[in-house]
Amino acid sequence: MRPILTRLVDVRPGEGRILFQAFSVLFGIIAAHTILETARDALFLGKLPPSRLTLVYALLAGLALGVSAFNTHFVRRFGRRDALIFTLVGAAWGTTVLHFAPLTPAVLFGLYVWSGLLGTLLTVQFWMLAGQLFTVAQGKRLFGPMAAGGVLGAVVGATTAVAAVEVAPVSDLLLVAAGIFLVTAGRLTSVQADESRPPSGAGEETRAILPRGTIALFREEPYLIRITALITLSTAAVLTTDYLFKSVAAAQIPSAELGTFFARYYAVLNGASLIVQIGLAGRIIRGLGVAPTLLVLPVLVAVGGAGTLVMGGALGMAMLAKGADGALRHSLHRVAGELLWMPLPTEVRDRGKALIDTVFGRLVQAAVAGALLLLAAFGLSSPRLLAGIVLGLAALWIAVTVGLSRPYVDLFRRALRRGSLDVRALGDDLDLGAVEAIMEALSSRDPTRVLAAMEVLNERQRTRLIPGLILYHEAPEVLVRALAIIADADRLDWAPLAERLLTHPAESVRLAAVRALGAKGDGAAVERAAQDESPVIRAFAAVCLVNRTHALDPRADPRVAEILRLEGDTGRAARVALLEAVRDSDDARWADVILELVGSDDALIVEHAAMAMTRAQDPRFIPLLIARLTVRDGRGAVREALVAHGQPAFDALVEALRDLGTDARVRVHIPRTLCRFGTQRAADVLLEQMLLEPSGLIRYKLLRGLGRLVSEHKVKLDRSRIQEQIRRNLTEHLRLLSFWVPLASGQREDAARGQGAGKLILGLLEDKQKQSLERAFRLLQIAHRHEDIRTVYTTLRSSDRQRRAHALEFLDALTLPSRNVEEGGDALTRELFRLVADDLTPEDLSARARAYLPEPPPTSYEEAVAALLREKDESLAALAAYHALEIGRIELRERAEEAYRARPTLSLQGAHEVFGMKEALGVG
Amino acid sequence: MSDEGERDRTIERQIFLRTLNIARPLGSAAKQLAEAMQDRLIPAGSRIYRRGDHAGHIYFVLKGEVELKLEGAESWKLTPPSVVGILDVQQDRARERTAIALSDVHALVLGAEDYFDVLEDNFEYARAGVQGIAVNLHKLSLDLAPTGGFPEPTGPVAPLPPRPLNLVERTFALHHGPAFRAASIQGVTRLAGLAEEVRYEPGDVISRRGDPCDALVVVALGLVRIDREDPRVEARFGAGSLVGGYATIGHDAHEYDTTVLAPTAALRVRKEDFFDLLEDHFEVTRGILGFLASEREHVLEERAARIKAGESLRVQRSLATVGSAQEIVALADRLVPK
Repeated sequence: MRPILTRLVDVRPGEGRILFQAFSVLFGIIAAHTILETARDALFLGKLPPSRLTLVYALLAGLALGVSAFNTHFVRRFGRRDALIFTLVGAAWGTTVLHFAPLTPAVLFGLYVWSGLLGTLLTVQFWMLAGQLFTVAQGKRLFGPMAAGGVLGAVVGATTAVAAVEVAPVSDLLLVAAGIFLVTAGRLTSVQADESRPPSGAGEETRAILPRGTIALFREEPYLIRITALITLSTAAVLTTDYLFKSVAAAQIPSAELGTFFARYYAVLNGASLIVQIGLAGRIIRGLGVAPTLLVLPVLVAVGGAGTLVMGGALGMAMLAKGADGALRHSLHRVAGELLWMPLPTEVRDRGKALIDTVFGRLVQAAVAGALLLLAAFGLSSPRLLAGIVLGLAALWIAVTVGLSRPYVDLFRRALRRGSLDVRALGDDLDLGAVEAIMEALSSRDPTRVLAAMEVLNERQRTRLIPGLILYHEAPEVLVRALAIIADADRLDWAPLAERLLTHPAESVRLAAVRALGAKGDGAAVERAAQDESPVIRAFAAVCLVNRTHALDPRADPRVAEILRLEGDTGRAARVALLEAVRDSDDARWADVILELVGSDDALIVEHAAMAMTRAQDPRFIPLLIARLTVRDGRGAVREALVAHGQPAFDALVEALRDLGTDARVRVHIPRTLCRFGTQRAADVLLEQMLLEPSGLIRYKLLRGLGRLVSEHKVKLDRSRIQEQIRRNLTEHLRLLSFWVPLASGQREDAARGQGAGKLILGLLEDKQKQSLERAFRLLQIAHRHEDIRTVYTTLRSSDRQRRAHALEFLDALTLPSRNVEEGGDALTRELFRLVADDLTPEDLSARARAYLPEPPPTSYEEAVAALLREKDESLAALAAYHALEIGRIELRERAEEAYRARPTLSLQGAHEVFGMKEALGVG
Repeated sequence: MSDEGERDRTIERQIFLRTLNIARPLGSAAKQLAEAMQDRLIPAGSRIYRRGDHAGHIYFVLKGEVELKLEGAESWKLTPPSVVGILDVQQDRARERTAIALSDVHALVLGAEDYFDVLEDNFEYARAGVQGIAVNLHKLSLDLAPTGGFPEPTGPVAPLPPRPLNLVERTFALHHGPAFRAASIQGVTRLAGLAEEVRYEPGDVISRRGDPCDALVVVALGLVRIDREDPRVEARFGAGSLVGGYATIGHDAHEYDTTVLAPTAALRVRKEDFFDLLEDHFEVTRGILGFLASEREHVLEERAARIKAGESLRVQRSLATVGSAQEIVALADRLVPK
């Protein structure tokens, strides 16, 4: 029995108890309310004419508004669980009082209104509580089975009522209902609801205080308008369908057989509803997603309506429409409808739900009933016309549902962004307040504050706000930086002030001054600098002066020749200054000088020569620049230089990347260099190589490079290849997990196995699982460049259950096959993402992943170690071989030696000595 | 707060962050940090956090004085600009001390995960932080002459195998040393693969003070000694230890003479490779930051203990100009280079 139930309902460890509690509470509420309704109808219609019902409907609709507002405050004051307990106790008390009251017309009115309001309040409060007990991910699996408690409660309640009236007066049903309310309240006290838990919906943190009015609420959250439209249309459509079905049945079935017909038909519908709730609702919602699931009912209603319209009121078609309503409305549709509320902030959800479910629902029912009454009164209630109305309402219902899909996902997107860093959140514009803050800092005597303010302006390209008078600052570091920043701007006010700095005592300031003035074309300033006592300044000036001539070889210039002849630290500093000037000058005539200096033994000069290559272009630089990629300092400038060299550099880089013989330390930096080209061809090369690359590290670099390129440039990629890579990484994640599970279990059982290499293997498997998952998400980011996938990934790893559920739901919606057909999306990728992202224990996940693995997973510790010996990754294989020797099982030893013979690169020689080393290191 | 108001605050925060001595952020890192921060006014006498609390935030103190208390240990008093709570965050542990606002405090509060996100997004900032803390630690450790605060090796000196160390042995050597203990196994195995094994005999000089320091050296097996003058510091390093400790991470030139005491197999990792690894494996960067934070805390505590015990310290030079022992410690806590 249990396995069958497990197949039907996906209940995870720790969920069974809470699911059963929720199921039984809903069962009690609906059972009691069904009994109460039976008594109510019998007593009301037994004493008063049916026409009085219209008065009751109006009264209910009016009261619902006040009750809705009261309910919101009540729930907020006491918490969802306690509010429901109080309501149930109140329901028991009130119903008991009504039982003992004389049945005057006023009391009967009161009884009707009382039961109507209780039905609304209890249902709303229960689903609010369910929204707190379960995350959206759990809701998709568990709301269906949980709602089955309601159907069962209705069946049992109705049966009990029938049985009870056989032996007791109808009014005694009130006592039975009160008793069940009370028992249910008692049952609810055992439910653990964490009222202190942070709110679960989107935008909680920023919207603690909501506008009070209803209009403001809807303005604040336009999603509520869509939900209201959905509920309005669905209520109208199903009510009209009900009327259509009954009128067609009444017309086509003899009166004497109507009772039997309805009883049987409703029995079938109840059965179907139960089956859908228990076994199908969760699966359908998980398969289709929440918003598409909401289309099932209106589409079937529309088909039934259309069929009735075309076939002139055929009973079969009307039965189809009503059947869909009966089987799905309180199961599949109800569950999906409740999930629709989940991404909303709790505050909005509570207020909106109370308002829409109670007030709007009642108002729409009253309005539609009135409209149908009018149609009947004017003889316009023919089956065809009614079917046409049903069809029209269903079509609108479908349209509204389709329109809900995107806002639903957007709410999760918004929820995920909350609390994460979003550098785009604020623009770069500076307003008056910001400018004041910067000006205050610029006026400071503290050089660090001045520098900070200048950098802020420089990054925002607002250097014109830096006053030229900053060049009167006393700190040399401020002067140097100011000259570098403001000389780039299209302004002249600083130049006279900079000229006086040509005689500043600090060499760095004089150099900065000549550099700024030289860049502006101030020949006189450069001439003065050429006479400076410092060879560094003279070197800089020499380059500027040579650039103003037509000399073909700068080395022939006596001033340059003098610098190149200088020796010692002075010569070194002068050469560095010369190379900096060359880098500024952007003149190809200096290529030979650069090539001469790049051959120096001095690392500092080599570095500056490489930097100089970034501006002066020469094809001879390309191989030197590529080789220079191994050096971190200045790597960014080297990459810029290669990009500046254009196609020849691109081709050389591609050739070096594809050649596996290229120094690995160079190859590893080529992907990020190629991405700087920002072209379609660069994207194609990166993707192609990612599919072919044997090195995992370089594949990762290719992925990073491609990710950056896609984020910064508009390029098109073959989505099916990206999807293929995603599947590959997700499958790898699950495959590694299948090794981890038996190893972790074995080490828990025998702690000695967890020492030494055993511990390292587990750690390495964990790291590799994380890595493959991260890569899959990076690829997903490439496929969805406008989404914030990184936040989804980090949220899935967070400890916040609700946020994880939001991330999972967002991911689920994002990878819907129907959404991504043109992007190469497929059900397998979605299923794999769902598996790895879901809240499952490693053991459960591994068991569920079995079907997706290329080989059967190991079932024991020894099998896992033996399997790892064959692992392609040498680190894992070598650790496994060591561990095989460590744990000393003869069979494993033999297999380790066999693995070594087959793959000598595992370098297992001297394995026995590792134990001596472990002692030296203090390893267990 | 309106967008305009928030933007003003963000600009002010960026200016403040760029004036910090502790791992000063630049460019997008400063912007991201500033946007992730929130202003908080803490009244005098309030407890900012309690020992044992989850370390979820870092407090950048703009105004006011904060005391970090720990029963049985010297209190640390921090004056602005200072960073409170970062040591716990970097070591990924619960609060070690209780933080009390001694006067009205204006702090910028940054979530720990936001801090790490910014580091991960801006590797050069993370690298500057690692190197800056390492350099500062070295400076602090010189005040702990003659040991420099380096622990004595405890394990036996094992004989060297007559063959190169294999990958597993290298991984053991790196992973079981303090520097890489918190790093991911994958990162460490990659480092083991990149490392070059070098054998030394007793008396060999691995490097001299002033030589270019372009690689980290980890003792896999054996024993080496470092020493220097002014101030005189001498320490020994055994299996699993990073020779010269943090100074080698932060400096371009060696700060010590390094001499071999027993047959030694050392793993030499080029700094270029090391920083590339940090960039590719952010968890290794987090591990290194945690290691440096714990070393820094250890050095600060030892300094405070020595000051309390009235020991003659090199730090007394500063004492004469600054004042109380607490202020020295507080000063030290803020002295991370630019």
